Amino acid sequence: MVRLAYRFQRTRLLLQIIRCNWQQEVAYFGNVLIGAITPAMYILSFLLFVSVLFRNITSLAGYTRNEMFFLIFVGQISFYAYSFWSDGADYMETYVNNGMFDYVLTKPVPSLFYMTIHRIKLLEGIINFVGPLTPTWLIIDWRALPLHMENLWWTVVIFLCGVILYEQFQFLTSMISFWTGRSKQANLIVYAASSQSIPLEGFNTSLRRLFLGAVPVFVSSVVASVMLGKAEPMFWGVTMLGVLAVFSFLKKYVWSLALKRYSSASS
Amino acid sequence: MPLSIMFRIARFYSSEFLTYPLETLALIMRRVFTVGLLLLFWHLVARDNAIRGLQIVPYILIASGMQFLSVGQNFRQAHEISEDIKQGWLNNLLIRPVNELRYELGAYMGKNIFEYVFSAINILAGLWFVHGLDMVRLGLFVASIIPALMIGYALNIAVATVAFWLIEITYFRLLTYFMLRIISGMFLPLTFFSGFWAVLRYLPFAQVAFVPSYIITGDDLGKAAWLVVGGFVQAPIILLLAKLFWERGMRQYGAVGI
Repeated sequence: MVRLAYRFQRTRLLLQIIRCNWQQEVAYFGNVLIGAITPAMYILSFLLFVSVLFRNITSLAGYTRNEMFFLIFVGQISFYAYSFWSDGADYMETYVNNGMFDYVLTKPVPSLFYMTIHRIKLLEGIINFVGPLTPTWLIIDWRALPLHMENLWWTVVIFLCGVILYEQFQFLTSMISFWTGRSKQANLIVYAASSQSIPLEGFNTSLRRLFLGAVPVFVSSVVASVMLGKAEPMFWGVTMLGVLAVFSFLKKYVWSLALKRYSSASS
Repeated sequence: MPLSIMFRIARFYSSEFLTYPLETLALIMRRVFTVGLLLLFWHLVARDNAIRGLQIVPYILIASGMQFLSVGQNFRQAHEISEDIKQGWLNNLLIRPVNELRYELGAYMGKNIFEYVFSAINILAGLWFVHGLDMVRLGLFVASIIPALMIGYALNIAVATVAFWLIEITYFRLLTYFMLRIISGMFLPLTFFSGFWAVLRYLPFAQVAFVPSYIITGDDLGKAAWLVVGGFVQAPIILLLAKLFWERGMRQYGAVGI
C-alpha cells in the first residue's frame, strides 16, 4: 500500500513538473521555436555531408547511402528522445555549487527522481521531433530500405534501454560535481557519444565491449542494425537490458554516496 | 597594449583552469574520445573505398587539429566575446588601458590552453601517419598556419560583432559554424566537391582547415603552394574587414550601452 502511494506520488510529481515546464515553454514559445533551428541546421549540414561523401564512395561498413540516412534518422530520434527529459543532470553542477541543491533536499519529494525529471521539456521535444526530423524522413527512400519488421519489438526494447542508458550515464558524470565541483567536460562526453553515426558493423569486438561497458555509445547503431536485419535482435536486446540493470544500480549507489558527500560538505 | 601583457592575461586564465585537475582529465578524455570516433569513421571510409587525390586519415587528423587551432569548437571565442558584450563586461575592458580584443584573445588562449595542446597533438599525429612527407611540404604547412590563424580569428571577431545588434546570437553563431565545417574542409576534404562547388577551395574559409591539410596529404603540391600564396593575400583583407566591422559595432555599443 505504501509502495503504491509512493508510485502515485511520483506520477503526480511527474505530471506537475510537465505541466509547470509546459507553461514556461509556452510563455516563451518563440524561444523554443528558434531553439529548434540549431538542431535543424546541424542535421541539414550533416545530410549534406553524407550526400557529398556518398558521391565519392559506394559504401561505409556495408551501409549504402540510404541506410546511412536511416542510421542518422535513428540517431536523431535517440538523441531527442533522451535530451528532452534529461536536462536535469546538466543543472547538477550549478545546483551543487550555488546551494540550490539544499532546496531540492528540503522538499518532500524523492530527490533522485526529482533531479532526473525536473527539467523535462515536452514542447521542445515535440518541436524537435517534428522539425529537424522531417528533412531526414523526406530524404530516405523508405521503399528501398530493407526493414525487418519482425525485429520491431526487440528494436523498441533496445531503443528504450539505450535512451535510459544515455540519461543514466549523463547523470553519473554529472555527479562528479559533488566531489570536484565541476562536471561540464565529463557531461560533454555523453553528447559526443549520443550524436555519433557510425554503423555497428564498424566497431570490432573489443570496441563493442569497451563502449558497452564504459560509455554507452552506439545505441542508435544497434537499433539501426537490428532493424535492417544486420544484427541479432535477441542477443542485443538481452545485452542492453543487462547493461541497463548495471547502470541503474550504479546510478542509485553513486547517488547515495553523493548525498553523503554533500551533507558532510555543507555541514 | 604590449603582447607581453596579452600573454600574462593568458597565463592568469590558464591557472584558473588548472585549479580543476579532474575537469582537465575529463577534457582530455572527451577530446580523445571525439577524435577516436572521427578516426574510426574515416578509417572505415578508407577501408571500404578508394579515395583518390589525398591520404584521408592524416587529412582528417590535421583538419580537426586546425579547426580547434584556428576557429575553435563552435566559434567559442566569438561566444565568449559576445557574452562579454551582452553582460556588460566589455565596459570593464573599455575603461582599462588595454586593447579589448587583445585582452579577449589572451583570456581565450589561457582558458583553452589544453585545446591548443590537443590541436598540436592532432596535427603531429596526422604528420606521423602521412606517407612521403618532405621538407617542402612541411615548410609550406608551417607557412599556411599563419593565414589560417588570422582568418579563424577574423571570423570569430566578425561573428561576435553581430552581438552589438542582436541580443542573442547563439543560433547565428552555430548556424555559421555548421556551414563553415562544410565549406572549410573541416568535415570532409573540399576535393570531394566537383563542378561549380570546386570554387570552395579558393575561398578564404578553405584556409582554416583544407589548405593546411591538403598541403601535407594532397597529391598536387603545386596547386597547394598557390593556395598558400592566396591565403597570404586573403588573410590581411579578411582581418581588416573584421576589425572595421568590430569598430562599427563598438560605435553601436557606445550609443546604446553607456
